[in-house]
Amino acid sequence: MRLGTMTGVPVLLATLALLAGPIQAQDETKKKSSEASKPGSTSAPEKAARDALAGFEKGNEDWRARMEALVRLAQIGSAAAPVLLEALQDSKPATREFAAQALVLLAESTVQPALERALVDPTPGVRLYAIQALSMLGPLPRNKDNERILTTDPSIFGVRPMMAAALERTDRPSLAEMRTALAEYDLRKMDSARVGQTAPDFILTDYAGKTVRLSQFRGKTVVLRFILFDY
Amino acid sequence: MREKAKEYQRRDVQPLLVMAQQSFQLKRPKVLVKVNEDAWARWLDESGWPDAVPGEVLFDPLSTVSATYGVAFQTQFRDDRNVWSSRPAIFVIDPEGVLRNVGSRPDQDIREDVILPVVDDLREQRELIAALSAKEGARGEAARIARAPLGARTKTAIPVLAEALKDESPQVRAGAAAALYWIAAEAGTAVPALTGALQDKDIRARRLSVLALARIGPDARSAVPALIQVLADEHPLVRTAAISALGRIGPDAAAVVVEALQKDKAARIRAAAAAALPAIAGRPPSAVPALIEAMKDTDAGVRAAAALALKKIDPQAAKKAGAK
Repeated sequence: MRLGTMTGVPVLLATLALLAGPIQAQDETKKKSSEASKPGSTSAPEKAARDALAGFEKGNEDWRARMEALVRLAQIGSAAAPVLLEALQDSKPATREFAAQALVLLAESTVQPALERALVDPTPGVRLYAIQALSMLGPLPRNKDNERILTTDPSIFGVRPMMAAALERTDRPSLAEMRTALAEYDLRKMDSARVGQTAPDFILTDYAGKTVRLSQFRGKTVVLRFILFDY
Repeated sequence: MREKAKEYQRRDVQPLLVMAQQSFQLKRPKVLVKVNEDAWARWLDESGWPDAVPGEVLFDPLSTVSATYGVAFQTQFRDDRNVWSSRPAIFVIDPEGVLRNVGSRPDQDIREDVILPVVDDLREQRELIAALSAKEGARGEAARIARAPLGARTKTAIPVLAEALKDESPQVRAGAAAALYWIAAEAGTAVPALTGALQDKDIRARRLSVLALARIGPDARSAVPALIQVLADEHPLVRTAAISALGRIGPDAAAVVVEALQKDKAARIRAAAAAALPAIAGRPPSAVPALIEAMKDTDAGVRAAAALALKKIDPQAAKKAGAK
């Protein structure tokens, strides 16, 4: 197989992305809209969504806390959207970024205006995930604002490529399927691979959609390598 | 076919490359095709990953598999820099499906030129343990337990294997050391026996004992003085393993290396300690003044090793101290 002929060839910009340009300082005057919510009127899904968000914030940016919060939000589904929209206005950049990331899974026409506003967020991660979330609703229009992001966003290796991909997006991802897959992830399996124990089995698909199961390679030594690619 | 692919096929190794991302498969944007392919080609070239094997490139769009393996990548920006919540990692899984090695460096990707030797080592260990498990009696049974996934019976194999480290046959000693390395997570009680094996005449037994102690980590603290001696081992692979072991045992161990540089009576140990310092994880700041001081050592070998080490750790301090 020649990777050069693949569709959806990944980009390895892990190192390049570190060079992403500087942007203006975070605007600290943003208000916390959470103050507006009334504790008495909290519904069960809303409370669960707030708990998930609190779990992320308490996790001190550990990836496990992020993963767990994403799984919990996927389990809650659309009902989590209001809490995330509120978090998209939070004063803490990490919280806004996480909210935008979670909204990728909850992208619906109702959240579209808020995501569009987030395209000018001072934190590149918020812009990046907002673009991605919007692209789940279909390819982004080639309007002036989006062209400007494509050509002038200070995050050259993060936000700009994400916009380039979003403008040309042709696939129609099933958000419901993705949410279900994430919601069904057993969190007890997280970080469970241990030297000396049977390697956790998995099923993944290749670029052509072919299914591959780790255990099908019994009898051979397997070198399993995880790398990042950006889109 | 590329040479690297042949190397994998020759070893009957199946490479699996998992693209871990929190995002989803977007169509490759045309504007970036060129830069993408260049980046990809460069990466393949530098990482040595075989692109022409029926090596599967798999996608993990929700990072669930990555999370299970403890390597979920999620884009996040901190101080306007894109950072990842995790890092690239390599896992080596043996033909029985047991995870045998994990490679991950905090600051850089893992290179294939390191992975293939790990695969070769693994094969040698398998053969040593298989030979031992063919024996009758307790030793054979202990080796068979060591080959299986860790479990309730693992601990019962430890004393038998620890005792086998003293066998007169180098083959048996190396097999026992390999077995203890494989079940190191449960082998804390074998530390004294493994420490004794650091002086084994057989290089395999010696090196595998060092590797086992490295895996045991902080619980192998009592092996530190013996490991310091191993820093001067005649075999470079054993020395490298000792450096890694001292790093994994913890910052206390790294401090003992500095102490050895300052106080050990044998010049060859002082020189070895100096040479080890640049690569030791958790190296204390006191390493720099100690190396500057060691540049005035009575022994020329120590002075040279200290100057070289200082140049690697702190080039400015080295220049100031007159290192050439």
